[in-house]
Amino acid sequence: MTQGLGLILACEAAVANGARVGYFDTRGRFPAMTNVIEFPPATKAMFGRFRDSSRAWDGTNPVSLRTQELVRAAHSHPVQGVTEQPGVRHAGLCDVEAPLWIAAASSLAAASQQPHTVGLPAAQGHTPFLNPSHRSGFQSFNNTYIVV
Amino acid sequence: MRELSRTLGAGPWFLLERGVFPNQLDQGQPSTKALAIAMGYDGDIQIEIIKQLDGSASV
Repeated sequence: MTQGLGLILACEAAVANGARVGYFDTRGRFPAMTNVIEFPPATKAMFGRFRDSSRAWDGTNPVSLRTQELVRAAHSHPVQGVTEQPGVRHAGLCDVEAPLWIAAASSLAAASQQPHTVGLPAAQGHTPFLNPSHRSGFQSFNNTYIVV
Repeated sequence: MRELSRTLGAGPWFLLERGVFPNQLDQGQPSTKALAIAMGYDGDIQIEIIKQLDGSASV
């Protein structure tokens, strides 16, 4: 299924909780790149705290500074690279591909072919990125979170 | 952040003023981009604002 998808993993890094985040260059399928992030429980809880803060927000204290804690946390959970697999193409080095990216690419490809099943617009559209119909986060496979 | 709060009601914001994340690959090449990242919610929608702080090529 992942053969010949032609999706490029434009960049990646390890972020808070050691979760890997990657940007697939999905321009042409979707209106922008697509952010894929591993979704361990700590990350899910962190996002939940942010969301809950928003629900209760009265407009005061609009910015909370975060420390380097999340960068340190990323350093303390080094990503283990695995050998290259077909389906996802790095623009350069191809030595750190991982099943996550293969699964993500497969999911994105499926989403672009069946946009309505995940609440996404047709890939050919030129709708502004922040059009409400675009703002759809979805969990489509184990432990990985995609934001379009 | 102020504009998105004003127009969407998004926030509050959780701001990392400067971070250099490990294991960065940019177009397949090792990278050490420094980023400022603000994250907030508009309802159930997560909004992330990313600002690159160094002069290297953007993604």
